[in-house]
Amino acid sequence: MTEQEYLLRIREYLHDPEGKIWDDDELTKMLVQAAETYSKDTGIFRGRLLFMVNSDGVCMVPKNFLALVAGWNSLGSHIEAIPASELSRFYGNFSVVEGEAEFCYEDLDSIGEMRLCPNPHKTQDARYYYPNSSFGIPSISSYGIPAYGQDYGIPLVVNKFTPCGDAVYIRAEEFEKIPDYMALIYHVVYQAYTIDSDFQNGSKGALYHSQYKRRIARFGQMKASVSSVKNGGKYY
Amino acid sequence: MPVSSFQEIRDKVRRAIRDTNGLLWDDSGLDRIINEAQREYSILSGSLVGSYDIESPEGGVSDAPGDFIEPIKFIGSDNFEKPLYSWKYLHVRYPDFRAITGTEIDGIITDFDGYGKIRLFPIIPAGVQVGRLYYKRLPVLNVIETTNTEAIEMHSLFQVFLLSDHRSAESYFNRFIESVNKESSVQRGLKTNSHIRRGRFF
Repeated sequence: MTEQEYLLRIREYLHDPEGKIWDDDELTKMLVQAAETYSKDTGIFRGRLLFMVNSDGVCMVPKNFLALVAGWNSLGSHIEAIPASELSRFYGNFSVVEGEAEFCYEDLDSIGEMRLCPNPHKTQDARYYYPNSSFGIPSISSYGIPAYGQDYGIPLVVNKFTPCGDAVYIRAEEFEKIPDYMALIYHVVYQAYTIDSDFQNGSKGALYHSQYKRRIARFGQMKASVSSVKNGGKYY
Repeated sequence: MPVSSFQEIRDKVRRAIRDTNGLLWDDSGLDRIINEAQREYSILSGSLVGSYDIESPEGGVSDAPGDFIEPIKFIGSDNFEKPLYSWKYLHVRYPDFRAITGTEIDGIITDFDGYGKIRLFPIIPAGVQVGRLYYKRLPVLNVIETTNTEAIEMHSLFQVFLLSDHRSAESYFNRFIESVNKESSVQRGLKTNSHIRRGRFF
């Protein structure tokens, strides 16, 4: 469903066909928020990343990252997600120890980064190649830098590395690609009726939120339908 | 196969909202609502079932059809049922379960690669028919596929009253749930107990 189709349906439920109360920008922001909440609540959209850490063992997580599902190091062994406070029980010197990663934890210094422990940066065999300007490649600083969204020129640095592991994570999906569009519509209407304005209506907000909850309880709850010894006591 | 027509449901809804001449709701408006009602019905009840043959893809992960909601059963090409594994279960036993290869399928995983992705375990060479997956599916647009037209009617009325800002909406939603539950317990459950002994060994 496109953004315009969404807005049309949402305005029907809000009884605001001409946008006199809620403008398009406001509703679109709520729609983006609804998509993120839906992705988080259901956990059904997954992404995969390759670990590439710097010398401190830190790597960035993608912008659409919501939660880690599972990670593996370069040997295929499991990487456990663990809080730093607990990690110190396994490695007292967890911030400096090096080797194949066994744990990952949120970076203490900044949000949106992840640290691997032991620090596997040496296993990546990272190499950097710089073109030699004496062989005719000019060292103009703008070479290799994308201009106006287009790549051109010759890269100034070539990095080569072996990933020190990979991970599967729960990601935020874009609202146009979420098949359960009614859940998003209900969530946006719920948000519209609960923000602080003259048109705040708690009971309507609660009604639409309960509809949203019902949808996510059924659609896409993949975990509920698969069996395991841990989950349900069946044979497989 | 169509079991009822849109016209019948339109008439029922119009009678309930005293709009028999279609002055408030034209056909296209009601049809959209009826389609939405049947979609909600299929999500809630899981009564509409589809199936498709899985051919082993390169890498072991394939896309389910667009109307996929969740898996029900997987019957292998040897006509035996194969398990739907939870990735957590496999991960405990085979941490590298994504890389294990074999010659025949042991089961499938649907909770790892994301919504609508089917992973075969182990990975086998591409292009082999491995079996048939039965799944709960979404309805076909503009076709009434269920005999439980009462549920469709109740949900259509729920939407009509919700859009009209009328407090009857909630009661119609409750009646929709009742009618889906009635179907689940009577028509599909049949109250049959399994003959296989379960639980402890005694």
